[in-house]
This record gives sequence, structure tokens and C-alpha cells, in this order.
Amino acid sequence: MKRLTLTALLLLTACSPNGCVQDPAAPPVKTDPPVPETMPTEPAPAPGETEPAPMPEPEPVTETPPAPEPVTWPHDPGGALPSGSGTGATDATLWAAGMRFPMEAGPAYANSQVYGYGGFAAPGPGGQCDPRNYAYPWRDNFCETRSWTNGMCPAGRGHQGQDIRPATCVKKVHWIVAAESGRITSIGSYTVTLLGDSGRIYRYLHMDMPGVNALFPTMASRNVERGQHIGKVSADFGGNATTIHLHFEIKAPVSIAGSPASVNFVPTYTSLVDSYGRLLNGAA
Amino acid sequence: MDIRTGAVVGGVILAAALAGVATSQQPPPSAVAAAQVDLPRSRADNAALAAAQKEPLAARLRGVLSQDPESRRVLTVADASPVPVLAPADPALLRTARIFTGDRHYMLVVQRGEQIIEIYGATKAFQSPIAPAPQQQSPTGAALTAVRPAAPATIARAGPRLTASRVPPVAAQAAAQARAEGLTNVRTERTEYGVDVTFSRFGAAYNVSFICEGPGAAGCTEPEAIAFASTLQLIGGGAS
Repeated sequence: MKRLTLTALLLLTACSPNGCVQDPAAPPVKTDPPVPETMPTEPAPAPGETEPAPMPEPEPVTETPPAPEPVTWPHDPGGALPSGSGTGATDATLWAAGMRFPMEAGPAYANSQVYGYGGFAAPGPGGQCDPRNYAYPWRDNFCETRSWTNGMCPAGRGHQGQDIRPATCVKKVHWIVAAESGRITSIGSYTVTLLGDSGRIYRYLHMDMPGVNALFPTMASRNVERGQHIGKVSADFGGNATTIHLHFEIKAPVSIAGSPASVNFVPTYTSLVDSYGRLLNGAA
Repeated sequence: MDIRTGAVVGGVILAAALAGVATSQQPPPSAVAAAQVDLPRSRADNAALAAAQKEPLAARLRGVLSQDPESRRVLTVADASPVPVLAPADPALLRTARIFTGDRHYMLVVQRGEQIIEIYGATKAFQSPIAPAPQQQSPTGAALTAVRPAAPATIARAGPRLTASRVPPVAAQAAAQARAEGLTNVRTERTEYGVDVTFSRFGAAYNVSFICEGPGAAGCTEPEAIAFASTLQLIGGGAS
């Protein structure tokens, strides 16, 4: 019984704060050789013989690996829109805490597809595949100058979501995933609506729509788990032209002190920064 | 140590260790994360809900829905919803309905030709912990959104603000109809794929998205969106 208790204690104290699963990246744990059931008896010293002084035990070398530095990436603060593209939302609220980053893997580049190279209001010559579009830093483009109404923008109108480019400028390669568990409530000609279990409405635009329809052929197939594939990044726009990117937006019932609750587009950038940071650090 | 003492010690160690592991796996909540709050229903909201439940048109729509097994399922789900479920008054449109419900929210989706209409309602809302205290009330009138005080100079820690947006004059008639039907805080938004209209009714927050996916699509103007929202009927739900 004493041995059982001791074993349980050793096992439990070996658990890391993240549970008892061993980190595959961690060096193998060195264990002492098993203690035999019966210790061999040393010969007793002869009478008159002095016992030799015990050899000093060498100091155990404990190599504690330094805590890994969190992976970061260059990103501008929320609301800091590039010059000339409008005034950003002055709201640092994390409206979708715990959300899964909507692309399966990084790198991904949050920036404007209108004010970026190859866009309608490009800063200079260059196509949509210009390397400058596929580079950090991230830039918020919620509230970027557009004609769409947006009560969260200082101007009362502006972009209602965030443009995100995938790792490479290639269509139908990069997976898009469900931001949270819920149901795909509609699939349009370039829109996909996900009603999350939280009550948030996520809308994904410009995916490869034939691929989306193939993934969800029936209503029964439209229940999705957080992180489940829901399609691939493309440039579908109901017959109109756009660049290869995901337009990602969140709408939710919002209660702001002093105002009646209403269903609003909420700034997405803070939640995207939060979720991308977790993705890069292996905790998507 | 006897068996009993050993078992007690082992149990205590096990419980402590499990508690430690469990709690240490929870990341601390973010200081800027929005939290969910219930939307209160006033006495006036309850009265409006009771009146809507007695509407003859609502009873007729329920009759239409109960004739078809698939539609009957919509009715059953709607009845179980804590949110008052609003649905189109057009029986033909209602027959295309699919309903999705969750914790204090629902979405009813209908198809009008190529157009998708998503009717969403919630009796809860997300509240920002960093929203500044209100300093001024919104202007009156159904066609205006609330006005928040000007944001602080720093971007990083500011809370949300809503900007006033006036419904175009052409929508004034539709807005008056909406008010007459008991809709408040009516606001329209042109979107990248159509038009949205949001409003309050029965103490709940609603949003109707028209996914038209093309400029000039029929039934996708802001006045049409408000008019559609005004004709929505209560088909069930709302028990508190």
C-alpha cells in the first residue's frame, strides 16, 4: 500500500500544468534505474577497520530548458488603417474570444485587397500576387473607406470585415475552417454563413463555392465543429472580379451601455490577432 | 500506514492534483473580452408579446406550418425557443423555412428565388468590458442609431462606439410602418452582398439579412428591407 501511494504521488507530480501528456518536443525524461526489491547487503567492515569517508556526491546537473519564446509576428494595432484608406474603429474589445483563426494554417496576411497592390485603390503598380501583399505586417481594414453602412465606424460607414490573404497567391489550395462550432445556415453564390453556438454570426466571402457545395451537399451535413474545413480560399464574387482572399466578418447582438442592444458588425481584427497568435503558438 | 490511511492520503493527493491540473489548463479570461448578458424584457414587451400571440394572421401561419411534416418541425422548434420567433407572413415563403436555434438565439432562413433571407433573433447580447460610460442619449426616432461619446485618443484600449446613421428619406414611410408594428431601434445597413435591417421587438434584438449577391436585385433596397421586417409575424417561442 505504501508503495502504491508513493507511485501515485510520483505519477501525479510528473504532470505538467498542461496535463500528463508528454510534450513530443520535450527532451526525453531521464529516469533512474528501477530500484530492486531487495537491496544487496554490503559486507560489514571488519572490527577495528574504519569506514572509508564517503565520496562527495557530484552536484546533479539540472538543465532546465528555457521557456520557449512565444511566436510573434509583426502586426499593426487595431484601428490603425493605412494612410488614406479611412479611419479605423476605435474599439479594442475582443468580440470573439476563443475563436479559431479562420484559415487552417499560417502564414496568412491580414491586409486590404482594395488598397493593396493589384487592388482598386492600389498604392502603385503591381499585381495581386505582389510579394508585398504576401508579407507582414498585418493591417486592420475594418472600417476602411467603403460605401457600406457600419455603425461601429467613426464615419458611420466602412468595410464590415477583414480581408485575409492565404500563404500563397493560389486559388483553391488553402483551407478555411469554422471559427467555432455551429451550423452553416446558408450558402450563396459567394457567401457562406456560419451561426456559431455562441450566437455570433460569421460570414465568409469569396471561397471556392463549388468546393463548399461539395463539402455540404445536404442540410444534415451542415453541422460543423470548430476548426472543421468549410472550403478553400478563392476569388468567387458572383461573376465579378476580386483578388484571392477571404473576407471574414462577424455580426453579433451587442449591448453597449446607454444604447439599446442591436445586432452589429463588430470589429474583427482584435479577435483575429488573438486567434492567429494562438495558431502560431500551437494552441489554435 | 494502514490501508485506510493510505487510501485517504492517496485520495487527497489525487483530488488536489486533478484540481490543480484542471484549473491550470484554463487560460485567464482576457480583460478586453466581451461577455454575454441577458436582455431584459419589460412589462410593455410582455404585453406586446401577448398581443402578437393572439394575432389572427399568426394563427393562420401556424395552421399552414402544421400541415406539412417538415414545416411542422419548424413550428415545434420555434415553440421551444426562448426567443420570440419572427417569420415571414407569406405562407409560400414560410414553406421554404429552415430553423436553427441555440442558447437564447435563433435563425430562420427562407429562400425567395435566388435570394436568401436570414431572420435572426437573440435575447442575449455581448457587452464590452471597456465600453466608456454613456455621456449622451441617442437622438429620438426609429431611424437613428445610438450615438456614443467620442472615443479616447488612444486606439489600443478604447471601447466600442456606435455612429449615428440616418435612414434615407425614401425609407421614412417604411420606418413609420415599422414603428406602428412595434419595431424600435430600426437601422438598415448596405452590405457587400445585399442589405441588413436590425431592430428591437419584445425586448429581443433582431437582424434580417438579405443576401442578394448582386446590385439591383429585386427586394433588396433599404425601404423594402424595413417593410419586410415590419410584416414579420410571431410564430412561436418567447416563453420565459
